Amino acid sequence: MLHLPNENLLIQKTLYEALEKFQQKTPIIIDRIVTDFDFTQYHLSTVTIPGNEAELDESKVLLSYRSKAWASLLKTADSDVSKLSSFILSKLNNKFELFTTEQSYDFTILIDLNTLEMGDIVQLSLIKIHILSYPFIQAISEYESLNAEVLKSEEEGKILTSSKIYHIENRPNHEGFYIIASSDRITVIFNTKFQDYNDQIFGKVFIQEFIDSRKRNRAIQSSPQVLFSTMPPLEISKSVTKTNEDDHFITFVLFPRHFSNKEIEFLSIAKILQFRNYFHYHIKCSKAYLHSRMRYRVGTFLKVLNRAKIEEESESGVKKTFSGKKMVSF
Amino acid sequence: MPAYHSTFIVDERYTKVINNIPLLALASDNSVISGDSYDITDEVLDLFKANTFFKNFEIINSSDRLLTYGILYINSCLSLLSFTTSKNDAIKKLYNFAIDSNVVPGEPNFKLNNMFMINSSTTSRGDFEELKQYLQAFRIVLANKLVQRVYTDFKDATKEAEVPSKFWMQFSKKKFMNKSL
Amino acid sequence: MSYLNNPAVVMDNGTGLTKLGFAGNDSPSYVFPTAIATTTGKSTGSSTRTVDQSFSNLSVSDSNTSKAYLTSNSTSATNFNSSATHSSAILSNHLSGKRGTEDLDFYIGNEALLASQSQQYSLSYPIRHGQVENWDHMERFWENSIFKYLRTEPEDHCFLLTEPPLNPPENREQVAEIFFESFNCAGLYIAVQAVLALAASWSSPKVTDRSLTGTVIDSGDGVTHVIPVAEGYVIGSAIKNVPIAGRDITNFIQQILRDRGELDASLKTAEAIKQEFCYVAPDIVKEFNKYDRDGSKFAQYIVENQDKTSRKLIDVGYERFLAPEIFFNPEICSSDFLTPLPTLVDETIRSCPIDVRKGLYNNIVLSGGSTMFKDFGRRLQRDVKTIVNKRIEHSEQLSGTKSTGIDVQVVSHRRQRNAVWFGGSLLAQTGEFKSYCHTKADYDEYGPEIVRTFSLFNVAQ
Repeated sequence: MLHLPNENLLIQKTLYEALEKFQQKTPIIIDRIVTDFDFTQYHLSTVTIPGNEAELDESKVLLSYRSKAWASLLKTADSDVSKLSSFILSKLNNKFELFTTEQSYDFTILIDLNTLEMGDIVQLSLIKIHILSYPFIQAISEYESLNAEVLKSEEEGKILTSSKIYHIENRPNHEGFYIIASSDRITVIFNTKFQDYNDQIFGKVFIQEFIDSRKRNRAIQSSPQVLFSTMPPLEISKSVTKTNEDDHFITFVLFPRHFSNKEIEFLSIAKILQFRNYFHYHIKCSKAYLHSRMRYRVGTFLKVLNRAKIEEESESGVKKTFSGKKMVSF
Repeated sequence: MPAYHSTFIVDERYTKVINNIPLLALASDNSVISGDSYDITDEVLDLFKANTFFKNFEIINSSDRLLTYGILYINSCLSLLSFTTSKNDAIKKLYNFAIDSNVVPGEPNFKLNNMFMINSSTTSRGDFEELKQYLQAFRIVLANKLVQRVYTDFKDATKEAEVPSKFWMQFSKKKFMNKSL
Repeated sequence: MSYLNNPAVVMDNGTGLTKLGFAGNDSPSYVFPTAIATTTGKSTGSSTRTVDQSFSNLSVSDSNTSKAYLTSNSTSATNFNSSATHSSAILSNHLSGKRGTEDLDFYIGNEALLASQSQQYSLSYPIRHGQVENWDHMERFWENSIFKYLRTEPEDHCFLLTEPPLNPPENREQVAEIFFESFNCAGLYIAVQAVLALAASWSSPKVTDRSLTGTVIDSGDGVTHVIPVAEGYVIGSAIKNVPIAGRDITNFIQQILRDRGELDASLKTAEAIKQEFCYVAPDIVKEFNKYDRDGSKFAQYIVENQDKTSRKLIDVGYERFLAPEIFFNPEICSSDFLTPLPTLVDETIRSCPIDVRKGLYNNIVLSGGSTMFKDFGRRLQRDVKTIVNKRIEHSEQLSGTKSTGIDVQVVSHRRQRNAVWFGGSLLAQTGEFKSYCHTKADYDEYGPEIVRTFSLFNVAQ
């Protein structure tokens, strides 16, 4: 597995089971916790019939979502929950209704198994990406208006940059990412930290490879440009108040071709959103690979050791050269 | 739980035992009249399916020998039938088999002599003949009852089937204690 | 709102099946074979795709891939995948063309079984007899389970893993090395499967005191273990194994189907019959007679081919009760192992210290898929009781005194199939769980040997 799948397989599986059993007239009651990367948690549960808490309505399922990113996400939506919710619902093709938000969750929708289709399940399994795509979509629309402005002004080479910085903090210790729209690009800057010193070194090798391979390989010239620094890049230097030693900033520059149509736009956003997980996943895979090499080495050494015999003490009279050869006298 | 044993406890005061084989009353004789129609052949048929799975069997009572003989005999009977044999054919085949196969326990070519711990050196010719007669009758009764059971529709025990029930035929390859007659 | 309160991950890697899930759930999220399909190096496919293309291949439209494992959620270790048609969709790793990523070119679980149908991958089972044999494969198996299936960042979660009884401490250290060094996991707890199975039995209404003393009968696919546990500690010297378990039952059914000349006697059919129709009868002769008198006891199983065009009717008969009978009469299917399970349970308990025996008889707990047959517990209880009572009677006769008697109780409960996992889920959802875990900081400070000991859960609740 080179890439992490975009969709949450567990949401898919759970809903698929529920739907299948429901259609076979043997509905099941679900009450499951599902997690996703970056302190995201879902709760899938069968709805209780209003007014009668003991009874369950097996045709309806609630999907609740909570995540560390929610607070900062809300900030980018001017703290307007309804704005954000209607955005998310529209991303899900408006097929689902909002439900009273479950306690200790951020967002709850109602899924009706009577009208649920396979395609919807796939969309629901992508809900995390849909939710977090909000600032990206904002930035893209900002790019569009800035771009239009530049075109109107007919000034050659003029670049406008939005003053608004979308900052999403999806992990503790201020880890997260920033999005800045300009008239010709969208810049995404990750701030990532490494728990382990070794990871940091792996990470640096990786990032270097990201930068280098783009230069080396012509086939991937169309991919976003990647920059890496340990200091906050200029774009966000204003909003990053304090930096630690272990801050690492990775910048992706998205050009218009990365969001030229809806499908590419979605893929770009999905990949960007999963970048941190992808990055850390590969650091872990590399360590696993190193471990397997080490085990292999140890195995071969052990084989050699097992074959080795203690050399018989040679007759004491024989002289040896410095290199260990025997001196034979004729 | 080991293999099942015969419940017909032999009392040598009433039942004659030849070559360690008890000549237990068969229901076809007089016992039907006395109302006690469940005899050793019925028991053999009842225990056959369960016991064929076992590879070890300890002979506790001498009637267990007759049980063993019966089970192994059913086994040979079933292997004579095929999935398509008709009932009339089966009756003929099994009758002939019952008459033909007449090796008496105690004779040198009887395969279970060792297991039955038969010492036939003191047995008289008359006793041999009596045992032979008895076992033939035993086999005929057993074969008849077997055909009745094998040719019943497994889904409805009151109906007769055209071909042998596969729920009997499945045992034709099994061998009780890995032995055969 | 505490976002840092991520649920712990509970992983039970068994010889046959792996159960993955989150603490607090009542059933594992994933149950799939502990199998891994790794590339054989012979790349047959000519995939010279660019990065961009493979990027788009992982898109939403690729829902075929995901469907394959949606449909294949079998509950048995001997897995049969009906969704072979998806195999082409699933084999789109696009890694064969990329140099240096061979270590990522592998599949686990049901996908591995699918992948192994092609020449490109070879299948292996990293766990043998409950213990990890191939650490390379196991590490990658975990890697995929955590990132792909559970979608968790191990740095953010505590992990509860299980181990078989008598697992050498070196194996624990290996596990710790992998989890702390490769995955940087936040916290790790390794629990003995039998102890978790005991904890799972607390969900049964029969259990009144939550004790960690009892005899666990754990029967999966390969082996059946009888494991006595006293106060949370396994009495290692008394553990006994029965080489009869799920797979033998399936084979036995298959043999019967063949003997009877049924239209379909595949392993798959035998497996389905085992799961759907089998039960434990109190007495087989009586049961045979019941069948012969009453035709309604016979069942029918319908085999459909993949596109549902043809149907075969399979009659199901005596195997319904004969198959589970092999636990109680191993003689009927095996020629070298002859001790019935109840006798073995009795022997196991009698080889334990005398002061725990009563507790062990009192709390015989079932765990694993092969104990799921109807009335399995009841029959076991009856048979063990018979053995015990006979012995008590005998000793009463010899000594002339009256014994107070021993209460034999077999506990079966609803979570039996995944009892070990469920027990893990119960323990890991408690508030104190985190404090029982060894953390990455501990590991860095003391090294792998810290996992040699874990404090037992406080059971007085």
